[in-house]
Amino acid sequence: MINIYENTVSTSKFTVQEKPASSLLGQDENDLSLLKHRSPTTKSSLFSTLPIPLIKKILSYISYFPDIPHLRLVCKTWSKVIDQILFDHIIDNFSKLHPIVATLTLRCHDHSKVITEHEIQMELRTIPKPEKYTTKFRIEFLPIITSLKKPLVKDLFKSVEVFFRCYYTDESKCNFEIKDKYHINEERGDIIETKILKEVEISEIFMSSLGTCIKSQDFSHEIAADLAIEFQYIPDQPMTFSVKSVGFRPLF
Amino acid sequence: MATELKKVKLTSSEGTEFIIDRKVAEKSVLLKNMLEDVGESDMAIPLPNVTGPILNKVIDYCTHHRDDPFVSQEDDSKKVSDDIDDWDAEFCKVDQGTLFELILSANYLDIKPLLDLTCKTVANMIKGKTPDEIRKTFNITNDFTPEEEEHVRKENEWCEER
Repeated sequence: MINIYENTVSTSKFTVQEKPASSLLGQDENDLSLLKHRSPTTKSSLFSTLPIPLIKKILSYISYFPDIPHLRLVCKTWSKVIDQILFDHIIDNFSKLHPIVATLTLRCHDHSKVITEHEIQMELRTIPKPEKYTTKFRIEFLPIITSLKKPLVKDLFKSVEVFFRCYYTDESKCNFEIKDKYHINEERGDIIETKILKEVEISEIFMSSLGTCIKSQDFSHEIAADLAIEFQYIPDQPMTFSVKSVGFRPLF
Repeated sequence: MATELKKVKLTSSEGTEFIIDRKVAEKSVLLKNMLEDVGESDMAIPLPNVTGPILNKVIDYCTHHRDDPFVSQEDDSKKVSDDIDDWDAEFCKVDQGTLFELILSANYLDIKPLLDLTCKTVANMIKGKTPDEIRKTFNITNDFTPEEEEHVRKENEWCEER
């Protein structure tokens, strides 16, 4: 039973401590910076009455794929909030991924149709923490053992097939691998083939390559490959992302 | 048992006074903490951020859910919005203004189940709509320049290709 006494005057001596608008939800510095930059053009909307953490909470109930990306088009505030949601999701999932070991196999086709294969063991040694909210950030795998005996000189090869395999060190079932083929004797490589292997085993992980940034000048004598992969997250389900680009940088 | 029978006075922003069971009031973490800090007292607790009609709705919700188990703030693993029961769905059949005020009040009063419910309700209003339909539904102005909008569209292309 609720008793309501209309218009009675309270003689309360309670002190109500004013809590910030985000009393229930955490509000970190990034959220605050976003609040400062909220667009004034959304003031007519009831959404403008909500602090960013509450908008974030509401939008976090939307399925990541396919709805979330389109919501970035609603307004600037929503776009920023969705970047935050995706960012949090990525960081959370990469934390689960660690530690991970990867094998990079380079199948080099020279102009005489001779194929040589190089395998490099890679390891994701640290979980990168981007400095800002973004759905795109670089993951760096460092070589454990460099078994690349033959220098990759661009003129020697017609093309290079790149096989990149990742697997968890705990031998979980979430192994995955990708296969990409690149031309390296061009200013910018073009993907000839992208193929997902062992799809059954990667039920939780989908990878596909959308581009490559291999440049011919990156290949010089006596280099060891330093693989850097930039993931662009596909917000479909946990641990779903695609390789945005694969790049090689000479270590020395 | 004795504490369950105790009454608590709440005062809304307009000065309207509500007397409710302490157990109902304690669905709000804010009120629970205040009551624990103050101890036995007949004085009303002013809630300057909550209007009478909204406080009435909040009390309605807390009374209905008075025997529900406590939900911690960390217990947020299920991010689904289709698990709303009939009573809650009926409770949320209010105009947009009321719904958004309920969100703010639930947040202020620290009532996680009510905050979850109201946020899910808004999320359900968003689902399946195009950006343009969402703007119309919530009266949101598209503040992107054509160039900025095109940039976002381009960024989204990679997931549309899937």
